[in-house]
Amino acid sequence: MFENIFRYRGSRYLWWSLGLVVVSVGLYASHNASNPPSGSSWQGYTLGTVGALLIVWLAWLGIRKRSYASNMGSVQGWTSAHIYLGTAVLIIASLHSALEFGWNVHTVAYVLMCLVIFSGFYGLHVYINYPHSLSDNRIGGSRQSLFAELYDLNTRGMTLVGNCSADLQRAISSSIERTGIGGGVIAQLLASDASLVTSEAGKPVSNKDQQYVIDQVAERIPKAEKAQEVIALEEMLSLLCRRQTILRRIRKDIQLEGWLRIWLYVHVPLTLALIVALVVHIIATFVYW
Amino acid sequence: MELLLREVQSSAGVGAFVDRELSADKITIGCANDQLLQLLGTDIRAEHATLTAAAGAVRLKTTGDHVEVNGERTKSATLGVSDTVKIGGHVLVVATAPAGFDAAIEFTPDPDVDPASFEHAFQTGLTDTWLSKRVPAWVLSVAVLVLGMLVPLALILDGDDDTPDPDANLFTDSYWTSGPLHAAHNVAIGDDCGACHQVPFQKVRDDACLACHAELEDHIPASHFAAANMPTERCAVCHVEHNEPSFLIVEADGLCLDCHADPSALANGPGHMKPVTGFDIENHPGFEVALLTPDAKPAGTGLTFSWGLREAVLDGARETSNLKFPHDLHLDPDSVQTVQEGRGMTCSDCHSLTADDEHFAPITMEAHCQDCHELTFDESAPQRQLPHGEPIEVIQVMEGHFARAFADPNRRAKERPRRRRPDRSSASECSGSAFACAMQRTETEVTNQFAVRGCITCHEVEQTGADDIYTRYQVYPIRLSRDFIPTAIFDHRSHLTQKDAQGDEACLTCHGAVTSDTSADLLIPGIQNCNQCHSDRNSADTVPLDCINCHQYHPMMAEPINYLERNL
Repeated sequence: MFENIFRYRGSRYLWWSLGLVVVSVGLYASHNASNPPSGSSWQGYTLGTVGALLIVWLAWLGIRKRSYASNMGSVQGWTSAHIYLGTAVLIIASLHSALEFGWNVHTVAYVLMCLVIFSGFYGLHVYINYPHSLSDNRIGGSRQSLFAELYDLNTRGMTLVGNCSADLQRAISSSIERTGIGGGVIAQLLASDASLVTSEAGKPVSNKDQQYVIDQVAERIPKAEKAQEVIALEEMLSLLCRRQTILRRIRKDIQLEGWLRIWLYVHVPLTLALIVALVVHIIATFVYW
Repeated sequence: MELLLREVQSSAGVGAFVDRELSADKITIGCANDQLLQLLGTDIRAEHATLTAAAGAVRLKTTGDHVEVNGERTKSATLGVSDTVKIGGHVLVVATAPAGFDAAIEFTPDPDVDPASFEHAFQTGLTDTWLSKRVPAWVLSVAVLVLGMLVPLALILDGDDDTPDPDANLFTDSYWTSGPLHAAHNVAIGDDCGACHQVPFQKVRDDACLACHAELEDHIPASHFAAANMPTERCAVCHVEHNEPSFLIVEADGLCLDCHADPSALANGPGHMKPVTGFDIENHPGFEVALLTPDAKPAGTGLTFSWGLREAVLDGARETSNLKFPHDLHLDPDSVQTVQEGRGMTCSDCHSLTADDEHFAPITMEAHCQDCHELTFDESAPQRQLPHGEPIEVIQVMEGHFARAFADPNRRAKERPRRRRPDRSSASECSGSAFACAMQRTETEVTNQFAVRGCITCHEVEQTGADDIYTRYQVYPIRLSRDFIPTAIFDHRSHLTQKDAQGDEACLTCHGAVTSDTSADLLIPGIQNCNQCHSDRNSADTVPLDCINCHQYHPMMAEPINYLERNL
């Protein structure tokens, strides 16, 4: 997919953006001693106007490219334009600022713009790299199929547990009931596992990665006295191990999806703040012309 | 409570029951694993509802939606026998409790539910968390709008208090500044944006500048601007504020050359002004100098003098200071040595820079000449010197001196044998009265001083031919120019250190004093001399000069010649 984004129509937007940057650099270079570089030279006003229009257009593109029903161009096309022109606007706005910064609304707009663009770069990074890991982790399936299998394993586990001794019953059923998946923002992003199990002493202890309950069952197998018990325990062990694998995949899936989307919680609010800051910047400039 | 749960399992059209006994204070219902009754479905929350025993009935409480009791949506209800509760697609019907149970419920699971919806038991997406795009977007946008625009705007529109409160850092229009002020402006104006930006949406007007800079001379008198129909630029065209790093004056040749490259193009422009496009002999007019010119007018038996100024092209210009002074002779160590040290003279023996590093302190007879050029007039009295300045006084001093010499018997007796020279014999051998002899001796010496080798060595002296000794000679007054090019700036001190020359050598690289045998020579070098080291563009072997390195846009005086004349 990302090859389509970058090379959309022979990298059309790459060339547009490069052209725009070259023209902007030329415009900046045309400053001289009688007209030193600043946002208020005619070159500065031109670069500022182009930059502001690009920012508004890019923000609109961000909305537009999400509405799949649109007839106006393809999603890849809009995304390609969004990436290349978004990068170009970083250079254009920097030239407009003449790299003069201070504690003022103008720099606020610039900093917001940089945060939006760099969070966009991060978004691009994850969009390039994570979908592969995501589909590798699902092994051709989907998150729903992982959860369906987990539910199935849970149900079978709860049935099989009837064949086990009372203490194992408590351990296994509590491990199923108290399996933690996902959770808060941090838990999702770090794929942390807060699963618990009720110990022999009746207290909840950590069952991270289901290891506690697996160890409990595994320990019983050599101690089993009847062949039937061994078979039951081995069946249970294989079920718990399969469950462990599925849970790992589910957590990894949640984690990858989280990183794939978390940057939007920065990118989108900052974009709106940027547009407000841009309006403030322009008004402030002309009130105090 | 003790609950009997009968699950109706219908597979292949055959009904089957599975009974479970649930014993807990609170029967929990939801899609999470730890719920006593686990229900799946996209509409079911991890913890969706609870059942508690309440005086023979069952109390239902829900935390999620999609709960209906007897077909009506509800959040809580007290259930009686045969009441039907729907949670998502699952159906619970309250039945009569058998003995030993607080309640019994027949439960029919949603046949359409997909095990995949088990995901809803967990928070598996960022949208399930507290994270939001809308809230921070609003908070940030409103903060930027209020602090960045509304507060400063309110302060401007309020406008009563021009003095910003230093403590109210959060509420100030200083957020609008686009860069630091020049240090001087910062001290004088500080955060008072309105001092310069007087009218919103209008560029800074000259009035704002002139409120403080009222004394500053304009480039040319305002009447000239109007008469020549010349464009007047706003102060802020050349004086740009809020730069980083701070500077106030745009030092660009282009600003000058806009008009001076082709002055004739200006309607009614100054016709005499020559075009300037650079700094060399082709692109810059030759230097012009302001020359002091004496004007001697006959008055009675003598002359009256006045001084005027005229502009002249440097090439071929001659100075008329009325001083006779050959630089070459004075700089020749074989001819002239200093009295104290017996060395050859240097430039700085006479020329000392003033504090402005451009001009030199006036040269006076007393300070610079008299060490060598003593004003003795009577060899028999070598200590006696004539006063310098007033010719009549000079003659009167001589009269007094000789009257005493001739009238004093002791002095005459002592001196006569020692000091007698053939040419002076007539004086000492005067046979008339002492007064007559003194007058005769005075007359001889006056002629000597004014016409042979005294005053006339340095001064121009006019012989009027008068019988009266007081008016027989007229000494021309001397006036040395303080500044030949008063409209230009030149830093002599920085030029005292050059690549291969320092001190006198540095002076002499530009001023040809060693070969000048007359004080009429100006010794001011032309533009080619400057071009040896300077040019108007950056290059590795020259030091670049901008127009304002030598010229001032705001002249020190509106009209230099008039100024000089006033200060003659």
